[in-house]
Amino acid sequence: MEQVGWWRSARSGVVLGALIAVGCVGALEEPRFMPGAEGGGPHGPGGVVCDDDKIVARPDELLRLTVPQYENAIRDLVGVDIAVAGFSDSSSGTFAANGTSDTIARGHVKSYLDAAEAAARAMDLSAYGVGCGDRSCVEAFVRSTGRRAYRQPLSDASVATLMGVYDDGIADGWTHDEAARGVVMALLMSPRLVYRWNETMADADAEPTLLDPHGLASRMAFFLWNSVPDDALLDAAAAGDLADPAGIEAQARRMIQSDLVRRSVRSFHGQWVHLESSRADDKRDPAFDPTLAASMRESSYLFVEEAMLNGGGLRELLTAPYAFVDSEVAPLLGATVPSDGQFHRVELDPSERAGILTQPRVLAALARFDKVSWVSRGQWVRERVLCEHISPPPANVDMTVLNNPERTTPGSACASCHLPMDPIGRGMDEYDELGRLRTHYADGTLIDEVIDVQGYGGFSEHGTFEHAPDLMRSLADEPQVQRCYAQQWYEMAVGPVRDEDACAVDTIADRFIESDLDLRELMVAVVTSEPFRYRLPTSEVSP
Amino acid sequence: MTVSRRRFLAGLGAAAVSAPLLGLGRRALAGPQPMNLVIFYSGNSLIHPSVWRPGAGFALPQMLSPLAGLEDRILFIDNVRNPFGRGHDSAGSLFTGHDIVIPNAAQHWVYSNPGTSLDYHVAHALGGPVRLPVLHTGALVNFAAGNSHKFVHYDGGVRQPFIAHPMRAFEAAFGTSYMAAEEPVDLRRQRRVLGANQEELRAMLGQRTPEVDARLGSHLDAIDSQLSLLAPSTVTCSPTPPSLPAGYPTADADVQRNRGLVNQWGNDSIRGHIDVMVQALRCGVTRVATMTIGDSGVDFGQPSVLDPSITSTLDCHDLTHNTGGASAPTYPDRVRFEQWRTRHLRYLLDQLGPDLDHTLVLYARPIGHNHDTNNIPFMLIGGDGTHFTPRRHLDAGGASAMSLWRAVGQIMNVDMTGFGDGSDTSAALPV
Repeated sequence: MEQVGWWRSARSGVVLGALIAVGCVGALEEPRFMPGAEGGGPHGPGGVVCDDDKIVARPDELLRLTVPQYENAIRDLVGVDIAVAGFSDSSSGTFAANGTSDTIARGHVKSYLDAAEAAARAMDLSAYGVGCGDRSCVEAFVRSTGRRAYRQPLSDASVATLMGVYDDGIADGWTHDEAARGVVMALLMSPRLVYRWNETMADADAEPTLLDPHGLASRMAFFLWNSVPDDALLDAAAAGDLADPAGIEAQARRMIQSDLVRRSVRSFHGQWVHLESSRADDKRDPAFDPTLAASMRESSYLFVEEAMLNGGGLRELLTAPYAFVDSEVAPLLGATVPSDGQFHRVELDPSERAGILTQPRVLAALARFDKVSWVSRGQWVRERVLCEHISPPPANVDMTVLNNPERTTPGSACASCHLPMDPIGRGMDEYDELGRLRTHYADGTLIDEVIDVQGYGGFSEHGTFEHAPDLMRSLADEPQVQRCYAQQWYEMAVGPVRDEDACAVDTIADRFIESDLDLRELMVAVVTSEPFRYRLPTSEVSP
Repeated sequence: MTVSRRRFLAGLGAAAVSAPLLGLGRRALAGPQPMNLVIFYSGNSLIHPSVWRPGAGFALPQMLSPLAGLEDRILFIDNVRNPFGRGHDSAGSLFTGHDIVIPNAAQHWVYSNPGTSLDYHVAHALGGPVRLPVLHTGALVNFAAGNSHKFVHYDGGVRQPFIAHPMRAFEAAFGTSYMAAEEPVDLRRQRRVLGANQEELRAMLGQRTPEVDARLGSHLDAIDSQLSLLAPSTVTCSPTPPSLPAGYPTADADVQRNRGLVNQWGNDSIRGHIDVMVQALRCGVTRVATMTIGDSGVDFGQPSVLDPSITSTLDCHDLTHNTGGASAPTYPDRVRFEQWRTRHLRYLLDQLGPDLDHTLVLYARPIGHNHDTNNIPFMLIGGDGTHFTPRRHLDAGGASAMSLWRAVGQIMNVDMTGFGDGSDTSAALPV
């Protein structure tokens, strides 16, 4: 067994064993479908028969902008950076989407009001042509910026509603600027901005229907930029250029060359690996403070951007032995502190670090405040990397005890579910709750177990590995992992994956793999897919 | 949902701002005065029963010594059981009579509850023209850890957040225009902007599905609710902003994210919230108020900072759980820490003053000694002596928490039908 660094000399190695299909009835399930993983190809992944003539669409769902989408929209519409405080987003799956079950409460209104007011106050009115002192320039702003905010041309009624704020304000003795800022507030709080209203339709047609061009432009912008569209995209929509996949692809390729695509890349990976998790913000370690937490988060985002937008794509994301360090993060990785204290890319020992899962922020997010969690780390690999599903534990389980080896004792009640997870997490004990390498547990015990990792699906064919970097390199070559990654981008775009999405996801995954795991090609494949372009009305219109 | 909220807000509009008058007005009514409810809640375990159980003649135990002189107002109850016991996670079921739902086992501490907690049930049952159904405040709280303080209060399955900054609590209770001699443009503009939003929302109704309309309706209601806070102030009971000392953080985040500030200003935060709660009840802007003291650990709650007589450097969570009995080195500090908590309770009771006659104060913790959910102690304090029998130790004999909540319902004179998941039919505790 190769010796790869002083810190691991004491370890005997971790074995990804040969591998029995785990009998975890009702707990660990096969992936919903893992298209193509078993040679399904474009027709028949997981036994699903693809019908080229059948358009796959999903029912209309009114979404409310996520907090990052709303913040980005304010930035793009009025040029002000605002942090919306007071509420968080909900989700029905992995990714935030304030959908059907979402309800606005007073606290939301207060938060929107605070954000809109702060943005309106900070906005440079003259830069947007609103400072002319005349009503007409305010209305011109409403029609131009409002088109981007509402993702479609404003109706006369909407213009009247917004300008009513101006007119009433002037009548009440407000100055022009005070009244204009009131209009900006009303625009930024408008339900036609806050909800993705024009992505839903008002007919009772039961057949899949192409999204309205402006609705499609809205969906593209939120997927590719996590924000509102620009004028070029709306112009393309108005000109009918989004009527076919070629036109959509042309706009998509323009958009993914923009720096704004970083927002979606951050959004996806931030949720995929829990970079925004509050668990990564609270650690008991004396070296930990909010400054370090913020640096750890930014370091991981820079790594993601480098790998997925400038580097080799998914394979690099999962295996690259480099990191971005500033004066805060460098000590965690044993790297030299940059002389200017700012972020710089540094190369690391590939036997110690490989890819996103060995990033400190990720390891911290998958740990408790004072100790690592086998379940959290193992479950993330199973669910987010391999797209396997692990059911919640029974109600009577005492979950206050972490890292209990008895749960993986063969034959025990817990083993069927914990065997697939815990050994993976246990095999990563060499990283503490801040992601630092270590050779001993806190009590002084040497980290030296030999661990069998129960395989599953394609994962099962990889024999032994010593440490987490070996695991990551094994995973990176797995078709199941590559397809799982593509599937999750699809999920972020259109919602949780259903059985009928199998063929569409399979096609998208094929294009991703054929592109040698290039994220931009994956994004193009998603926006040109039928489920992205079509909608399916579900309910009768209100009387 | 929409109907419920609208019913609750019925008549608020301009009338909402006159609601504060009603609290005072009630005093003039003939007959027994309606009761207000205050829940004084704190997370984590308790020191051993020997330190909380009153002695012969209702001699106050060590933990309750700061309540000396108030024995005639106190009913002490223990041996109450939470049938959904899950250690710390039982905080999520304590007040609801519903088990919690854990969507992700790996993060079992992030759960929800499909029910409605006692405070919101009582508030809705009381109804009436109040500005807030529940004034829900929190101190020593943090955004991250702490399921035993963050996931406790629910309204129809929706978790209810607390207000962490006393000034925000004051604004929620009395509106933001409480001090303005002349109403500023900002306030008028906020109202006009919200009105424009409502115009847009109304124009959107009827264009999609009934489900979408329900969501838009909730949005309209939420704006109504916010508008009621922005209405020109007509509060006549002259509320005074909480007396926060110089240097107290002005940013909301600082009292939830920064451990140093959370600890440094912890006592001031608790007192500030109590000041607001007492005035809000007195002015009639609400009839139900909760005080949540977090002490969730992760150093957001350092006993040695909160009470300098405590020498242990353990955080709140670890100190309350430290086992070893009376011979443990930290035992004296654990007693002092319980007394620290009780002193804040005493401050609340003193501030209520004569209002305690028509206020029920419920002292509650989620778990008993060392995660025990079969023997949880509570206290009922207040009333005029006709609502329950005070100066008494009531051993509930393992009765479920539901039986205690039903007793609270009787005291508050509210219908408890429909409270809980329906599985627990135990009778009200004979308080």
